[in-house]
Formats: sequence, structure tokens, C-alpha cells
Amino acid sequence: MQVMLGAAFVLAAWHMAVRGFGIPKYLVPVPLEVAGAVQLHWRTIASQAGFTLSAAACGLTLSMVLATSLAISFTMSRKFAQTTLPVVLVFRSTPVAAVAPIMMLIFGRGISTSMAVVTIVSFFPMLVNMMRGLQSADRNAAELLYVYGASRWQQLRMVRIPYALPYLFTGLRVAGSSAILGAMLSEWITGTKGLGNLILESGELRETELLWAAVLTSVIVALTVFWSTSAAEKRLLRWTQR
Amino acid sequence: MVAASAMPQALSAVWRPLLTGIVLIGLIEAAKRGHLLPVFVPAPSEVVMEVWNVPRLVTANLGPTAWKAFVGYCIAAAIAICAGSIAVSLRVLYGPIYNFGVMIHSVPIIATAPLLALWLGTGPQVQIAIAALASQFPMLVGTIQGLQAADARQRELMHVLAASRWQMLRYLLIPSALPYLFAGLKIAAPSAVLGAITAEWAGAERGVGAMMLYALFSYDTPKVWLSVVLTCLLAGGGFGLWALVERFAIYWQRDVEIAD
Repeated sequence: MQVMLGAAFVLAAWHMAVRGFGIPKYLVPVPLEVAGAVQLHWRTIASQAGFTLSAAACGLTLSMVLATSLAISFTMSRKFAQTTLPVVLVFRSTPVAAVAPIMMLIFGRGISTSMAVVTIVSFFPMLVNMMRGLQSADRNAAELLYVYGASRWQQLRMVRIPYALPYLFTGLRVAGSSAILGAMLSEWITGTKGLGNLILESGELRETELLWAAVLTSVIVALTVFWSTSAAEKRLLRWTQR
Repeated sequence: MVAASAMPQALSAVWRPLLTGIVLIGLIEAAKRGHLLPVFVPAPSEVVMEVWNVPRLVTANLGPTAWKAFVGYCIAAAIAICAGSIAVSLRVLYGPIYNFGVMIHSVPIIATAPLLALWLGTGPQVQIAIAALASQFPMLVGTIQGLQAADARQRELMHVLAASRWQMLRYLLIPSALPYLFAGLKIAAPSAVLGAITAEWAGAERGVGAMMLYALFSYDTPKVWLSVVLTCLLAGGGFGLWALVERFAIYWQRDVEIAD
């Protein structure tokens, strides 16, 4: 409700400001014109946004699986952690702008480049949070299971993973926004379909209404991902009563 | 004193990764010579030769990018630190300022590059603006968290000692805020570089990003890798510089974590 009101207010203020100051159309179009562009091009926008979103979702899923399995194996074996962690740290410190061109050299101009970039970009926050989560297990519960003679696998399944779940969502929240960004960046550099490319092209062709429509779509997508993941995180945090 | 004890320590921390790096580069070189690597990995010597043959390529592209990232970073730092201090001292504005920071941070900034290009023209202004927008959030959070880091008992002590507002700031608030501030400044530096480079993709005549794009479209692998190395150097350099400053400036405390 509050969000709706806020959005309505922003739209009204936007309209007034553009009309009031006489800002030319090619700089800032009026909301109605943007809405018109959305109506006119909604098929393009939806398909491009779908493309970006599916790349981001695939990449996120892949990196979630990878990060979770790696985090579990890190907690299972200290030696493995010591040998693998430096490699992971190198990945952490490479910026997206450096990862994207290499991925493009490897995977070419397709959706696989976006997926690979998203996977790498979102991998690290996921891993950090999963490791934190797996180590956050209640000591008493872990000891109880130890006393019961539970196997390592049982300890993992019954104590560590349930305790780690909220952290998974923290990781998703942090990784989610960077995933969308990564997907758009790699579309940008590869020049394939997607929201990032749509924005770039409409910007170059000076189709201001379409540009605004695409930018607003990407902003809404990013904010939706951010809000939904933080809502899920809050929900779960309340459930565990931390 | 600090420098004398820190130097050998730093040296011993450096030589191991350095050795690994050198060995790795040697291995890649050997593998490439033996035709064991796919086309998209050039031999390190090819990348070096690229610099050797056309030194202007590096100097003409690295300079502008570094400059743009630096200017954007400074603007962002000034604004974020001011906004953060205002947010802490005026509780009413805390919500709006913080939420605005979160908004900008969660919006895919590069999406706005064409818009900014429309408004600001196609010069370096766009890249500077994007570098600033991309790097503001960690500094804002660092400032806010840092200024709130002094705990209540310390504040009370200062109050009991009849410290003036200035003394409170000088002896309690700023020292306790510094670790967080440095953490924010440190994290923000690579983001500024990243922002500048991605903004260059959207259109720039010179810069590491432009060089990267040209090299990619002509499938010039050594040049792509060179630009990747330059990107990493810039981003890592910004981070490392602040880490160094932090080490000497606040030797009493290290390694705080700011929330993301």
C-alpha cells in the first residue's frame, strides 16, 4: 500500500516536473509516454526481460548448487578447505568487468556467457554465507547428535543444514542484485538478446521512450529480486528466532 | 616502529603468492608453447609483447580510466561521508538517506548509462558519474556504522568528563568510526573502477573498457587479456592502496566487517 502510494507520488511529481520545467522529450519523457512505449513494445520488453531473468536464474541456481556443495565439503574436510580456499579467493577479487570478456572468449555470444558470468559473480557471497551458516549450528544440538553416535552425514542433514538455511537466503539476497547486474553486463558486452542490450540499443538509436521503459523494467526487476529475497530472509530469520 | 615490524611481515606474506603466480605463469607459457591450451588463452609472453610493441596502448587507455574512476570515487566519498554524518546526527533523515543509498545500490547502475549519456553528453562525465554512483554505498554504510560504533558507556564517560561536542567528536567518535570508514573506502575503490570500465563499454573513445570492447570484437585475445589484467591491476591497486593506508593510520584496530 505504502509502496503504491509512493510510486503514484513519484509518477505525479515526475509528470509535473517535466511539464513544469519544460524539459524536452528527448531528455525525459512524461510517464504517459513511457507507458505508451511499454504498451507498444511490451512483447519485446517482456521477451528480453525474460531472457535476462532466465540467464540470471540459471546462473544463480548453478552457483547456489556449487557454493552449497563446496561449503559442505569445506566443513567436512579441513584439508580440502585449505587447498581450495586460495583459488576461491582469487575468484572473489576479480571484478565482473574482467570476468565478462574472458567468459565471452570462452563461450561466445550466447546465453551461456551470461550464465557463466552470473555464476561466477554470485558464487562468492553464496559461499561465504553458506559457510557461515554451516558453522552457526547450535553447539548443544551438535553435541547431542554426537552423543547419539550420529554419522557425519546425519549430523549434516539434521543439524547443520537446517541451521544454515536462513544464511542461504542472506546469500541469495546479496547475490541476487549482483546476478541481475552481471547478466545485463554480459549482454552488454556480447551484444546478444536481453534487457542490457535493449537498453544499449535504444539509447544509441535515441528512442527515448523505449529506453526509459527498458531502464524502468530493469530497475523494477532488480528491486523485485532484492525485496523478495530480503522478505524471504526476514521471514526465515524470524522462524529461527535469532 | 610500526613500519619496521610490519615490513618483514608484509614481505613474508607477499613472497608465497608471488612465487605461486610466477610458477603459474611459467606453466601457462609452457603449456601454450606445447599447444595444450585452447585459443582463448594466450601465452603470457604474447600479452607482454603487446605492451612492448605498442606502449602507448597502455598509457593512453589506463590513464583516462584511472582518472575517471578516481574523480568519481572522490565525489562519491565526499557525498557519502557527508550524507552519512548527517544521517547519524539527524535521526529524522536517517531513514530517507539510508534508503536512498540502498535504492541506488540495488538499481543496476549501468542500466542508467545511456540515460546519463543523454543528460550529460558523451564525454568522460558519464563515466565519472557512474563510477560515483557505483561506489557510494559501502562508504555510506561505513560512515553510518562507524559513527554509531562508540558504545554507550564510552559516550557516558565523555559526558561525565564534561567533554564539549568537538572533543566528543575528536576523541571518541572519529577514532571509533575510522575502522569502518576505512573498510568502506577500501571496498568502494574496486567498485569505482568497475563502474568506470562498464560505463566505457557503453561508449567511450579511450579507456580500458573501450580497449577491451575493440579487442573483443576483433577477437584479439592477447589484447583482451591485457585489458583484463589492467582492470584487475586498477581494482586491486585501489583496494591495496587503502589497505596500506589503513594499516598505518589505524594500527590499533583492524578488520571490522561492514554490513552489506
